[in-house]
Amino acid sequence: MTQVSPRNSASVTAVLLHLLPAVLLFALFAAVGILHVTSRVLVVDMGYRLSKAESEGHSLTRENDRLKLELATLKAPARLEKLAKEQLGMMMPPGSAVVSVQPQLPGARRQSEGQARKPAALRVAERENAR
Amino acid sequence: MRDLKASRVPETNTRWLRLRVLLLGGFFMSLLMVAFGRAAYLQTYEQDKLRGMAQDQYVRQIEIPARRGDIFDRRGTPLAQSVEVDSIWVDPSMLPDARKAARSMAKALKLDAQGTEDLVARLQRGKRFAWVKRQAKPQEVDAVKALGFAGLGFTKEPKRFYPQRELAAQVVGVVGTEGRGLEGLELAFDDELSGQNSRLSGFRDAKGRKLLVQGASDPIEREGASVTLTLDRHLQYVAEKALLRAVEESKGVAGTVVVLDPKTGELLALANAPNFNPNTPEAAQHDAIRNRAALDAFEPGSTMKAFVVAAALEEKSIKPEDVFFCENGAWRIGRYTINDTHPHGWMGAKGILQVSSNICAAKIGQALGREKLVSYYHAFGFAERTGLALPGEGRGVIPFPKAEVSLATQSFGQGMTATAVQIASGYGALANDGVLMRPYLVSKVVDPDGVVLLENRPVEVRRVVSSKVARQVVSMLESVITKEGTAPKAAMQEYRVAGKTGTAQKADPVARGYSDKRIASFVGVVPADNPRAVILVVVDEPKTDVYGGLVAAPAFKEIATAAMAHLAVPPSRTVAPEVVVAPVAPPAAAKTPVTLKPVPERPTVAVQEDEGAGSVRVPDVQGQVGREAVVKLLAAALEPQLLGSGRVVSQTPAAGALVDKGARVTLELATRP
Repeated sequence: MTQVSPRNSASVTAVLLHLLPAVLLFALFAAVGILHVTSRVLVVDMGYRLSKAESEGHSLTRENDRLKLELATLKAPARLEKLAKEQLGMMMPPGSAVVSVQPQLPGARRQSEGQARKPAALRVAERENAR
Repeated sequence: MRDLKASRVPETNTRWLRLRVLLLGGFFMSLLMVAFGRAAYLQTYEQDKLRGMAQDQYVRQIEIPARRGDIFDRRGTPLAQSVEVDSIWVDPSMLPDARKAARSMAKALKLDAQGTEDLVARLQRGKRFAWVKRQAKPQEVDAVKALGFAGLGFTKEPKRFYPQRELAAQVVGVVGTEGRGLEGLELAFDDELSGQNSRLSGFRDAKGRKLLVQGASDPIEREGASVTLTLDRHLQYVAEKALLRAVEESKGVAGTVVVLDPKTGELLALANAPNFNPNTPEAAQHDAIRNRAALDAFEPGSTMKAFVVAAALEEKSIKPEDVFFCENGAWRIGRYTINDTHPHGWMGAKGILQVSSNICAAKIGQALGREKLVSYYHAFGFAERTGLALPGEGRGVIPFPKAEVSLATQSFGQGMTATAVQIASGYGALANDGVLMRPYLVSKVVDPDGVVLLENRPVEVRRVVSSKVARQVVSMLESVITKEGTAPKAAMQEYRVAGKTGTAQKADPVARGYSDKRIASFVGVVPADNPRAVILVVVDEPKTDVYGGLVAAPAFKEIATAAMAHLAVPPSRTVAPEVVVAPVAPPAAAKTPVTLKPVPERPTVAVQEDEGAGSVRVPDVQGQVGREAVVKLLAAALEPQLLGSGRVVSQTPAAGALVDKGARVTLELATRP
């Protein structure tokens, strides 16, 4: 027995050693396979998330467009005038009620072509920047 | 047994067996080779074709329609916007009873009898696809969903909305169901606005979910360019309101207003009456969709006299102090008689414009000569397209006046046609010291990624008359607004106005002559000393009154008042402001007395103590409304500077301080919370 067992164990080690490359190769293949599959799964998952985010973004853009439209509709001058007249008791200012003041920098009177009204000019009848 | 076998199987048999094995092996090998060959063939030669076939099965091309670009006014207020809304469709083959289903859907959509009929027909005709309602409202979608039919589908389709409703509707135009522009700027800039549809490729799994593999496209790529106009929303609104009232009060059939900045040629407003709501273009009469201001050429009448006088002065055919005999109201030229509304005797150029004498205008035309008259009309921009970028823009006709009578009539604007924009831009030339600017309506077309596709800047077309003549004519036109002139109703308290009325006879296409229908117009330049706006009001076929001074001038005044306030034009003369009384009681907050908040004292400017001629005392304006305070300071020859809005809470320098005339007084205003 004592003679046989080392020879036996030696042979098992030898066999294992003999199989090692094959095992390693198998492990490598398995690892690559798992990695590949994982990455594919990740890509697919990412694709779903991307399309979900895309459609979400799309619906948000749509909602934003809708809200912008609603805002513009609410700010339509005909509606504003009606509200201002009926609810706030306002009226269109007669000519004399609007006093135009010189721009803040008298030296630099910018009459830029693109703007009908100088940005620096203050208008008394305007109440839009009331804090 | 071995022996027996050996004896039983002969030599030849063993060989035969080996041969069979070899043959069989070869056969299988060749089969294998064929299989391999086929595989290699499919993998290499047929690769692309097969891959394409496979992708066709599971990759979907998802087409995303481009969002149509917006149209803005000069300050970025949207005039036209696109929003995606649901369209409802159905697969009729999945409906058990198409007719019954169509009827209940029609009920849910609140369709009328004709619409119901159409829907039933559509559903019975379609095999696998039929529209139920395109571009439906959210509540309609909910109503149809609630019916719970199988085979219903919803797709997003972009729909055009016009948030300002009737505002500038004829200028902006309309878009059809398929998203193509049909009228106005929507048609003129259709290519730019519609943008490029983009395609996305992605997989669709068994559940029909989208699976993107190439990434989403940039949303910017899917947008059309935006168009910015020179129109001003406020002026447009005021112009449309005033025009509608003028047309209504005079029982006219149509009308036009053009507001133009003479220094740049920008069209600030382009109003047309009757108007329509572009959100429901199918309800509008086709007549209302026409942009008359730019498209229609008409006989302008007396408004042309100013150009004749300017041309004659420029050519030195007449002098400002020359007088003409106005034939006491009737002048025969050949077979024709030219009449004035009132008989007049001898008059100078100023008087001719003031009372609008046809006879004397014809005489000035004679003095100028027919070649020069026509060439000056052309120089003022008539009979040529202004290049507004609107489809079908009119150009007007100026036939060469061979006959004596046509020379006479063309001198007062009959026997020729012009568009409203041309007249306004011609007056713009007079207001702009004789330089004609090219009128324009579209200031910018910008791609969503910021690339400017088109940009219009003020362009000088030509100098028509010298600045001296232009100023002379404008000052002559100021007399039209006086009590003795034809348009006292156009006079403004604070601003000097120069203008001209026009009451043209309309040609009768059937009777081949002039009918008793009129076109009343008024064109004004305000302020006359430093023109900021040219405003033309035209009312077609007024019934109550026919004269431009009575029909169109009040509308001009209304628009001019709003325009001067809106453009912050300093008044030509200072008038004490009338106390404004709101028609309804002001909000309660305004009634409560204003308690002044303690404001940290500001370092006062060093004040000169000697009260000389050039110094004034600063009035006390604490607690007053901004407007009153400003008027008070202006009356004291001081320059107010405002911070905030509401009532004055502090002033620098303090009240009672002595300062130089024209010194700046800073007012801090605040509203009571």
